[in-house]
Amino acid sequence: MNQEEILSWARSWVESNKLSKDAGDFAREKVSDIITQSTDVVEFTLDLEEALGMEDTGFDLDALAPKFATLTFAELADEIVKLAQSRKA
Amino acid sequence: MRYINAIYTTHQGELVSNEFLLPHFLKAVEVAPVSPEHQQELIDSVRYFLVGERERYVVPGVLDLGSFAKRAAAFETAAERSLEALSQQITLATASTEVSFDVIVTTTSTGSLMPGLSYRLAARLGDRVRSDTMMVDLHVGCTGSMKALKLVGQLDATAANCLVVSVELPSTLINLSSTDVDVWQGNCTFGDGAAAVWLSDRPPQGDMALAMEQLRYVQHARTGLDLIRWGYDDYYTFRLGNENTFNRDVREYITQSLRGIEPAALQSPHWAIHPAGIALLMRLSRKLGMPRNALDASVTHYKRFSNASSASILHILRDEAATAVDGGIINLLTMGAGFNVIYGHVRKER
Repeated sequence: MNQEEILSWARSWVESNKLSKDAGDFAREKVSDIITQSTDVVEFTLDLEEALGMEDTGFDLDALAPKFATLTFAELADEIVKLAQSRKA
Repeated sequence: MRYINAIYTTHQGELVSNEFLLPHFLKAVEVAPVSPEHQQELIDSVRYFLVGERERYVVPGVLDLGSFAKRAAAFETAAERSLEALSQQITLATASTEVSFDVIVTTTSTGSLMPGLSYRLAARLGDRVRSDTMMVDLHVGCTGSMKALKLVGQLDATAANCLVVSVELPSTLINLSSTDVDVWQGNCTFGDGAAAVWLSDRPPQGDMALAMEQLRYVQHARTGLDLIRWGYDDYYTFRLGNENTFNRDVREYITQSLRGIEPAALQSPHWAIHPAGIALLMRLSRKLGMPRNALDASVTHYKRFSNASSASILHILRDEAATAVDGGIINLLTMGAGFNVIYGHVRKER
């Protein structure tokens, strides 16, 4: 997935889990301001790994989770793209 | 067959939330003598470890425990209060019986007392304990209570009535001066708790009869010794061998240890799982194909009491036993330093 696709997936996930705020630029929202419960953070991470086809690869997104407090959704999507590219290299 | 006839629980100290701890913990890491990058890593980690609504019991003055003497004294005081609360429940429950306990096995990972917990409990139980009662004090880790159940389960028929007791006070380890991410993970993850289990060979006794049908113990000392171990500052600190690979390594050990389990057993909706960490549990449950609600009891416990080491699984088992149907299975799963994985199940007879 590219950055736009990851962002779109995240927006859908937030909406389907009824976590979205009413207004604002989703891409600029901090992840931890929208996904506030520890179980939701984990579900989001696990579902994203499945969507990216990362499960059973021995690689996971746990290392990025501590950065949810400072990353926006757009920045998170960028980080994931960079991670995926570095894995392929 | 050994039966669990009652599970007694207690929490002592003060109940504090993530919301209460966060500003105190952030204040501590913001003055840590480290590089700006390292400091940001610590800040991000503390925020992540304390995300969401969660509570735990801690010893009074937990943010001011700065010396070995203070921490050890706090442990002893809280341990005595826990034992007092448990002994009152045990004494009341056995009041109209002639039960005296043949064996008392205790476990704690978070302090060391001499005389040990078993003697301090015995001193409170009057004629429920005899001069020839076997009293053993274990120092284990998160798997301590399940190990104690396994040990008692293997004793001969002379051990007719037994007590297994877990007293865990990890709040005495909280270290605000550390600059290590894994120490802060420990600071944020654990909470205090205690429990006692009455076991016997007689189902009609006590509040319940959970038949201890299976407890399987797998240790990985040769390869897993360094996964979790103590570090030392003014007291013990919770350290991980490699915090980057810890979750993955633990998942692998648990998955290996559960090979050969009947798939149908994994589908039981009733699980008492040690709340080692929500991310770990949720990944594991997906990998093992467990039903989504299998983690509910552990997650609920974790949100209310955090990870109370070996006491947690006993609290969760008690909660699951209240809702399981007669004849139903409750799966047990715990993991901890060693590295150990213990899996088993009890069957609720009443």
